Amino acid sequence: MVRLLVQRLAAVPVLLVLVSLVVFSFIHIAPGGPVELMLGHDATPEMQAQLTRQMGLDRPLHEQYVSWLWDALRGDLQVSLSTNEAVLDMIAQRIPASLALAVLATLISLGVAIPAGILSAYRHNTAVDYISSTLSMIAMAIPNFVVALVLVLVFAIWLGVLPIAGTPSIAREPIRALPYYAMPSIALGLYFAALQTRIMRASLLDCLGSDYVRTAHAKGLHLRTVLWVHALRNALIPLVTIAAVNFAQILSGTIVIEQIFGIPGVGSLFLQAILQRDFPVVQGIALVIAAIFIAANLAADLLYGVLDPRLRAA
Amino acid sequence: MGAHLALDRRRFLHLSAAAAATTALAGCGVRLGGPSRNDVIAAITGEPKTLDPFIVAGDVASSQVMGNVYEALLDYDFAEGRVVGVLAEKWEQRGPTTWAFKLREGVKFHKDYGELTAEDVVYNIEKTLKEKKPRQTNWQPATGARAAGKYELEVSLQKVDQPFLIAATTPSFGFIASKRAIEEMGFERFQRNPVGTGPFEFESWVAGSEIVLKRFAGYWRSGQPKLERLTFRPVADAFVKLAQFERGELDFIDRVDYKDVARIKQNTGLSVVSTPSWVWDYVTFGLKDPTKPWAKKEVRQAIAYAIDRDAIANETTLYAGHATPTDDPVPPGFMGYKDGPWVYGNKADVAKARSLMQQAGYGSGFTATMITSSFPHLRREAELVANQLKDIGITVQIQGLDLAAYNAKVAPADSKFDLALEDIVVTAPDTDRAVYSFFHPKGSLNHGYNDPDLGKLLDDARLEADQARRADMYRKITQKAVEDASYIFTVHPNLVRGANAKLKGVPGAPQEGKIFMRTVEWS
Repeated sequence: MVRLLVQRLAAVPVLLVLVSLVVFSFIHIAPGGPVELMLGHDATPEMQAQLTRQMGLDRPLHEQYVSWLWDALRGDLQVSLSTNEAVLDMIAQRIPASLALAVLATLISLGVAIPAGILSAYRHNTAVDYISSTLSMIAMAIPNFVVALVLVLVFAIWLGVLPIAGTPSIAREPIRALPYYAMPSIALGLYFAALQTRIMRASLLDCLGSDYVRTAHAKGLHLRTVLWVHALRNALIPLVTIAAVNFAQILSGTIVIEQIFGIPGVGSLFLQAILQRDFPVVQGIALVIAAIFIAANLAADLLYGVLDPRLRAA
Repeated sequence: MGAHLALDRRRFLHLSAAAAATTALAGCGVRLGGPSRNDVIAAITGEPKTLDPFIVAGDVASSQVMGNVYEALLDYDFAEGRVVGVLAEKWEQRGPTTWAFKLREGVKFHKDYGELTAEDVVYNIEKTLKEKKPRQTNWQPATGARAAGKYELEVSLQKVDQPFLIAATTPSFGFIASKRAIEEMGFERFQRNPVGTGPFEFESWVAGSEIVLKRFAGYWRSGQPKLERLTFRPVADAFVKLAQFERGELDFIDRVDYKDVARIKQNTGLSVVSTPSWVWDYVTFGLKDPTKPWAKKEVRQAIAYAIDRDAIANETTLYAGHATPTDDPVPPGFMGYKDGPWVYGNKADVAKARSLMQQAGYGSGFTATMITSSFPHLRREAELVANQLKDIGITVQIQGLDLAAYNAKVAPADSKFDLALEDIVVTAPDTDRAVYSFFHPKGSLNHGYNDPDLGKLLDDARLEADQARRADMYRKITQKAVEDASYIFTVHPNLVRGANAKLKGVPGAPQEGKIFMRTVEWS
């Protein structure tokens, strides 16, 4: 287990450098730069060249990348080309909102998936199971922005019970901000709730058909005891591990939802930075998201070890 | 048992409804406009990039906020169509390349940063020029400024430049910041803590969420502003913005979707301000390759005749009547403006267009790609134009690009595109700003159209001091440019803003970046 952890941790810097290199390449392959957007159409070519020089964008690409990487290794993600603000500060201001959104969406997905998956498995091949499976399929097929707009229509416009946008800072006013996170969290969590319901159902069915459950039945244990004490704990292993990975997926997929609901997170900042070709901000956010993604995967591996003693021994 | 269950369920529903109503009214901030209100919550289309007045171009949201914090030496009175003094009470041209300004006395900066003096204005101009700040695009003709007294200053130009005054010394390029505030705070901190002389002073900025301004008690115009607080919230999604506006969570919104205007008008609690703008939509061509069909003037003219401008202006899924058909780039009220079309009518003239295509040797048509930036209304307009050009045998494939990619594709150095459809706003109320970049051989938006005579006329118009002669020059420029059709103009779309019906004095400037709230109040 320790060896696994050391191996994984050793790979982290390499992975982060690779991610940053890929992002750097893509954002620079995309046509256009920040200079024309900042100066507008009245600027002369001389003014554009001047600002390009000031921003250091006239240097060869490899030089720009090495300079960025060197700064990043020292904990400096440089400054935004558009606002001259430290990228690290910009991310620090925005990450609490995105993290809150991802945590709430994960809680919602697990809150739905665990009971629905248990019910489907317990009553498999019955009407309950079929309804649960059908709803899961539908939820997985609908894009989250469509779910978001339907939620706005129902809960904000028709019923008028939830606020839509203008979200206060979750770090400063968590209680006042919470209702604003309800619809975006549901919109983000629904797909993963459906996915995890399927995983929970399959995993529990697998456990229910295994030898140790048959032995438990043979010992005369009550059905509930068999289900809750023996089967469920093992059935949760794949769900918990996938939930950790899903958390990172949710965090990296908040762009559209943040945009719709005006959540002041890194997703909307990322989109704005891409459109403005604000290279350091794009690079910085990609690096932070990649780091969280890697950490979540690592956490999933560790959880697997904690939950499954066989792996711990190995 | 059943009775208990029924009772419990009913009680539960009552409690839920009460809780929901409490949440909706208290937690969600649903508010009603009325005499007790003294604040306004306004939606802006995106998060301002900065509140640094030295960076203004290309960011509408920043200008919208800064216009209430900062003021310039002069302003343009949209209603009267003339320049008026703001921080300067007098100004005059002392010789061909010198402008003198006399500042208004007793104007104070926010947060006790002292009185505005010539030293502040000189500092702003010198910083712009010496550090080559982005707003130098409009200050470029100036070589420097010097204080000629506590309230007097002079600005020197490198050569005669008639558009300078109106382009540089008015909002948004001419905002004046406090020298002392910049020096004491340091420039980086100042960029997010602006200190100007405007009717509202900066209070707070929660990134991605809202910017709050509060009434500046020391404002020099007596009795203004009327509001105590002004909150700007970035709301990107049109559907969400409209929903919030209808629920009373927003008092003012801009960029109202044209198709929603009728719906808002039906709501007696809301109002719509639809203002003819200085924006125009156009089709243009990559003219660097002489072998392309559109390198021939007749083909471009054929396209100009084939476009039905009335149809674009009235299309219900596009402008729904909130646009003025035009075949030229000069907005009403500008020098050299002519009411009505110069060459091409508002309706399509397909027979004339076909005849020109025959004349050019393209009677059987051709296929071309039309690029456009990814704004939905421009995409829709591109579809309409593509459909109209089918009538003269031109098959148009549309390619949507984000603005940065679009800019790269149409950059004069390359201009590797067939056709492009885009919109643009005049940055200052001088006809030079509506024509020079597009038709001068060295213009920043010229894609290969080269008429040296027209270029000379454009340069001469910048030097001409006699306003009647200058207006005549712009009429000649417009006539020639429209005839040659390197740019084909379609419509001037209106800027449509929505406001709570109880708000008085709602701004209706023809530029999107200008939402001045100093005279707004609740009735």
